[in-house]
Amino acid sequence: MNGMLWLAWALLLALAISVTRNPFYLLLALLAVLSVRIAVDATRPLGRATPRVAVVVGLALIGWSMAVNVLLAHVGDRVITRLPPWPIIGGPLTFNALFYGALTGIALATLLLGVSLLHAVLDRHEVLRLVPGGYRVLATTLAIVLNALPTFAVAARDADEAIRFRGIAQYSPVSLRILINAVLARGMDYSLAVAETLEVRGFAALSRHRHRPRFGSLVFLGGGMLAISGSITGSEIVLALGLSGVAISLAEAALRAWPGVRALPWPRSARVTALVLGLVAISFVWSLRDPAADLAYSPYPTLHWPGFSPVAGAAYFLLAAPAFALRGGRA
Amino acid sequence: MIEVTKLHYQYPGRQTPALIVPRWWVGEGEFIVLGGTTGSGKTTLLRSLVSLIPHFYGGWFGGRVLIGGRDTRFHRPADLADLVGYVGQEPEAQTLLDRVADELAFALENLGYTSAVVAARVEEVLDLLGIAHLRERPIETLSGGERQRVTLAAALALRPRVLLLDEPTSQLDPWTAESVLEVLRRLVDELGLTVILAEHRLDRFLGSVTRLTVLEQGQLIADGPPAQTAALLPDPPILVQLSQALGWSPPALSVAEAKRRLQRVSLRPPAKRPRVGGEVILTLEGVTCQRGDRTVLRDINVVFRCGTVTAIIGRNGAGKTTLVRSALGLEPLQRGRVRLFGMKPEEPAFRKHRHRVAYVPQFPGALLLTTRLADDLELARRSRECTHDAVHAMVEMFELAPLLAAHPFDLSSGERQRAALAVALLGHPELVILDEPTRGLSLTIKRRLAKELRQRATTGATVIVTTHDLDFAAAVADRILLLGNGTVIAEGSPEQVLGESFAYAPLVSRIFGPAFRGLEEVLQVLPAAAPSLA
Repeated sequence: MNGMLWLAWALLLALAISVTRNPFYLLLALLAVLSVRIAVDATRPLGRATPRVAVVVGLALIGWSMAVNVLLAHVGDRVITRLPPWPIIGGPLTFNALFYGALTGIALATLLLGVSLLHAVLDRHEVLRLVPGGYRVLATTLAIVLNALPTFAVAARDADEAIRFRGIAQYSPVSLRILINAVLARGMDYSLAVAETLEVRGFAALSRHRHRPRFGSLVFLGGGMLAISGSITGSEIVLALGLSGVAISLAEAALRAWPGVRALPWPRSARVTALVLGLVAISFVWSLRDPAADLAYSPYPTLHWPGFSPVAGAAYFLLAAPAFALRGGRA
Repeated sequence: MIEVTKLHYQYPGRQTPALIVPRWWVGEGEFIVLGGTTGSGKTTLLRSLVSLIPHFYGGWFGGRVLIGGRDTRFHRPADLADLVGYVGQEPEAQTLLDRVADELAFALENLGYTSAVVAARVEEVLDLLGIAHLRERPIETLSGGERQRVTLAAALALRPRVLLLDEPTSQLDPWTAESVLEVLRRLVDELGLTVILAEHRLDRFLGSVTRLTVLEQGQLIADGPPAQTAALLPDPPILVQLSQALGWSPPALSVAEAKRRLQRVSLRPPAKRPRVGGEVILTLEGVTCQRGDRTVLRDINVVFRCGTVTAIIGRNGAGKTTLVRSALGLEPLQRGRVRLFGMKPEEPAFRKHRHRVAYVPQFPGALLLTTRLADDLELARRSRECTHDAVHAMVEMFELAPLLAAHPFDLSSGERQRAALAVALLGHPELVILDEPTRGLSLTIKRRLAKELRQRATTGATVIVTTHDLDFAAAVADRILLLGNGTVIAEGSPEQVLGESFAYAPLVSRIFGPAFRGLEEVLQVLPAAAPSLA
């Protein structure tokens, strides 16, 4: 698995989760992400484990989403109980809202678990090299982000240790304020240092003269807008056109991105995974226009059994493909 | 190679200029060390040479800096990358990628070298700096010193014509620091590289450099061969102070030269009374600690008693930082146990006792938690329940008065270190643990710190320092622990462990013998031997 494949997987996962609240598909996606996480922790391709904090935050998100939805959405045919007519939260509390809150929470948690595991698998070198030469500012920002996120974690740990040994009460509002302040300040400081290091290491020094953002940017922008319009209006042709534009511009950018010094590793397992992810994408687009797939399931106003399409189910299930492609050590 | 004309620079938001250099030039193949106290403008000058100033830092910039004929006003740092290699102060913040080999290749790829050249250059610098064993290591598992060597190697891989280094040996063990100096010397002598470095620990460099440039409060106060300018340093290194005490002019700039001048003179060492520790405060029993696949500590058994100062030394990556972090319950143990004040540091009951511990981590900025240094000191004063006088004493000792209103992250590396020490040492902590406390400190402040730590030990505190600064270790410690590959290799008094060692002997011991730990001891017995030294 290389950086480009991981990013494609994360993008597919985000897209797949954002368009459905069908519990079957969400559970399949969650299982797929969990299996990938287990495989990543078992093989540790970059020597790093997946962040555990994402599991805790994910569980908290599910609880939060259920609580908020049941208190705010007073719609549905299965009433659990009724609250007095208090502002905003007063009224019937329905099982439909609780269920929909759980589905939203699972979707958010799955997304968080999926994206957070990129920390353990994304090689910063590969990702930086994926950015076309002309996009120097974007690449610098990306480098800062890639480096800043682990730094925030280290800064939080250091600040927590400092709070402990400076005799400040832990888990108090004061310590929380201090922690946030210290983490942000350190993150900023570190980001500046990273940007400085990028400059003195000649980052994008050549590309500034050789490459300019040009036609590809316009295609990307136009394709993106078409895809958004297509998904809003429900026009599959517009959506397909938009996605094609985005794919063409990204492929063109990827071809230009590599100066020929270093090629992405494409072992057999990575090629097979790429093929599977391609099939997932096609199955997914197919399912979008298949009403039997019931991607747009909603438990409102009446709670009913969701539909299920084997093609869509297979697409969500195959998001687990990276779990089978991982090997110990660097791919 | 470098020409600086009427340079005047002021950081954004500051009222006073950080640097004023009317004229300064550097020829090809020169080896220059920048000396001066913390905040004197050394780092600012280096940043100006690599064009980070004005392009990256903004502020008010006047004058002109030409480097290899390129005007820094019109060339960004990335445009100078083929010409100038730069290594900043804090190696922790200068690594970008995941693996050592990738980090070294990164700049070469940026400049469009072919894969064959990249591979060859990476191998070359791995060997040059003795870090071939780190090639595939994840960078996050490296120690501070190992990271410093990697950042230096990344700069060298470009084979720049000018190499600018900001405290390049601050985290290196003595042996590695000497080997880095040897590499630099060869690069200058054999390849004609121009090297400019800023340093606080000048003793190691004075004998090798062609020029010493002294800065003070942003002004260039002396510039010339070290033999002429070393005496003008505001905080002269030990060799120069020794030379001044002995009336040598020009001063001796290396241990060999000092020994040659002293010839057969032998000094009688002052009588020392070894300090006997009191009750055991901290115990490590069979402590084994692992990071990833690597065992960092192996079966460590050691006790620390109150009323003593212990210095932990050892090469980079030997496990010094992990040992003190394990002692504080900050590292998960694979095996073994730690007892601090009679309890496990990770158990909830220990929380009530944390105020009894002062800890300065390897990255001292982490200890500074507010937006103004003054607020940090006030926070520490309240939590440690001490007086305003105690705060003033700390401010005075570490010369922090001009920095009180500054944001901790606007401070230089040395200033942060001083600030963190002041915050940690406020009050009367019973256990003081300092991880590399002398990084970026001037000799005067180091002496004050050593005196303060010894004073604290006298009043019953337990002091533990990890350090590469052997002169500091010898001056402050009653006991030395030498770590190697995660185990205790040697343990004993400084005379036993350091004095007799080839690699770890402090400077004064190398000149006057193992019985002498520091310059103060030499100066104490010097009057008696004065006639023979004249």
